[in-house]
Amino acid sequence: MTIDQYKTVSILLVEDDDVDAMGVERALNKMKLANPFLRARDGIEGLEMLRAKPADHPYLVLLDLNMPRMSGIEMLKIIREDPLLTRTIVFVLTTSDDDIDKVAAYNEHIAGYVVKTKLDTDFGELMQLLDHYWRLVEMPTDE
Amino acid sequence: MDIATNSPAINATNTSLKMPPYFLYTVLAICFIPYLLTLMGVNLASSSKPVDLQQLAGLAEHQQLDLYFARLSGAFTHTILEWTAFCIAIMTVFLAASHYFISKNLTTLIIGAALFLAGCMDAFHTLAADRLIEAVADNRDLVPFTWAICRVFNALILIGGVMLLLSRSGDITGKADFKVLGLSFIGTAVVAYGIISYCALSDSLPQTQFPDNIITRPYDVVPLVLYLVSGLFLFPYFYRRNPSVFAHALVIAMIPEVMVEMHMAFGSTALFDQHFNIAHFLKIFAYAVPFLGLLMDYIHTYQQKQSEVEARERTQQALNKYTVELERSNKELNDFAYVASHDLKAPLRGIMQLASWIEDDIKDDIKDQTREYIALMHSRTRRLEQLLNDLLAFSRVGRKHGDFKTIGLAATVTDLYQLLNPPLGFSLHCDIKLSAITTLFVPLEQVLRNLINNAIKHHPNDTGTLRVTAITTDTGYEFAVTDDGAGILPEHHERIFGIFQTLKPRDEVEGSGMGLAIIKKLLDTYHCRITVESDGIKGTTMRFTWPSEPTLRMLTDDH
Repeated sequence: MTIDQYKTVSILLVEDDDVDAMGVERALNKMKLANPFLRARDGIEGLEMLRAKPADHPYLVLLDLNMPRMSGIEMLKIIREDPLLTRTIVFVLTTSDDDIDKVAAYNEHIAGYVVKTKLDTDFGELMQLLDHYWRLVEMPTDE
Repeated sequence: MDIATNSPAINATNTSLKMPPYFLYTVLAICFIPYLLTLMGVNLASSSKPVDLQQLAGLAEHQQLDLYFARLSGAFTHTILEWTAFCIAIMTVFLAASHYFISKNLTTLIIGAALFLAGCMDAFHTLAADRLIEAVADNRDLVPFTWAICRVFNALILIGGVMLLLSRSGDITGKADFKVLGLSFIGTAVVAYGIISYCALSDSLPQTQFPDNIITRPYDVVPLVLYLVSGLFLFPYFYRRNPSVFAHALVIAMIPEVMVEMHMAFGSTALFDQHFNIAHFLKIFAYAVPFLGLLMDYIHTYQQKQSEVEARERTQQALNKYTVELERSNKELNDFAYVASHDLKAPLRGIMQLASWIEDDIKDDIKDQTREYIALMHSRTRRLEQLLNDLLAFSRVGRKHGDFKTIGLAATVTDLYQLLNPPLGFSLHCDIKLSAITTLFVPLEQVLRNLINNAIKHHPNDTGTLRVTAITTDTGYEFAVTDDGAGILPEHHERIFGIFQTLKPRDEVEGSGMGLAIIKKLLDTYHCRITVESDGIKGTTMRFTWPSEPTLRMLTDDH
């Protein structure tokens, strides 16, 4: 059963910093998580990838906020307005611990807000959280 | 810049606090020309040819009337001259009142009122002479006698006004008591009317004209002496005490006044003769000179006020410009600190991660030396991160105030101390008698926490005693955090509040050097003071003020 779920939940990391992206990937490998992993470098690329997904594979999005071209908050607003994407589970993963950013992100119904600098130097803790999350939490299904 | 533009204006006012010289020459010329004309044989007397009653009977009615008019020409001239002077007195009092309202200088108001009262008395005198108010006395006695009384009254009321101003010991600006002023004005006017009316109804006025003596009208010697004393001593003294254009004109006005009395006292032998007419003519100028002085003073005061307003506007504009610039540069600085520390954190984090991955990947065959380098790299990046965090915290100080909360001070301080995990050898003496206070909790807690933390962190020994006190003051509270550590040398007392200032190498005591800078900025936000008391040998007391609740509420409403 767990194997099935790993297959059905893909991780989309929207992050402009290569080192952070490598960090997430490294943590996934370290935990030996087999979920499909995709990375976009900004909001526009992220939206393209979300819209191109096969219908039976829900994404779990890890979203940075400060990015070129389209910021995380802008991308979130578009996701929530789009009827096909609106149920997407989004975790914000950012360096900003500004209250303004937090409020703006939660206003777009994110699943959680994680400040990178509060994590250890690797993303181990975060991957553990996500591992538990998709074990216990039911994913939205397509109608 | 402002001083440079102001000083010429001040010089200008000093030199222009006089009537212009040509004014004085004109007045002198007018005073002497009539007398010179009489010396040249010009007759300035009014016609006094008696009416021939027999001739009158044979004439038509309108022709009779013409002859009566001709007979009365002296009285008409007298009336016209007197009334012209009175009209100037009326204009003077109104101008004086408006001058007072812009300058708040009592001189013009009081002297203006005095001149008007003198003018009123002259008017009563004229009305009595023309029999327009009831009069029984012989005009040959009534006119010279009431004239002399009017002149004495004129001189005395001017002298009285000046004395009143001098008695105010230099302070001639201020709010006039209009009730007192108005009542004394009306009172004096009634007295003036009373005197004239009494004289007019009296049938036993003394003889006033002595055509055969040198002094033809001895009663006019009294005002002559009064004007001489005023013009030579009293008014110049008043001008020196309170220089103004009007006061200067008042001095000049004594020239026509003296000339008037010379003509009367030594010249006039009968009603409407040429000295009588010259005296009445010159009396117009005795009123006109102060009026013109007042006019010039009015213009002068108005220009002065105008330039004051302009100067104030210029200053205000400059001030506004500086304020805007200051606000902009402050905001830029804040934004810069925020953006810089924010954007610098991302690459720094990358470096930290990469270092730990390298360490991870090569940990099996790593040399001790390399291990040490990597450890140092970690410590330095962590330090940089701390510096950036503190810079960010510094730039955010004052953006948020938090909420008002009622706290027990002693309990708060004890909790703060415990949360900082002090080493075992440390103890806290919390000497706070204050019960609960209501205040902005977050900033006060931050200041106290940073100070207590500093006291522990920078303490040279394993054991130490901290003392925290709090008292109420007139404006709020005063807190003090005292330690028995190494102290801070007085020459450092100022710089420790600067940003990134540390007194020891960071490798010895880890710290960004931002703690006290943040405290200072925070306390500045609430207009509080912080002082250091330490001889640099043993112990330090950090003392700071904290506003009362109403002051805090007022300050935070502004933001």
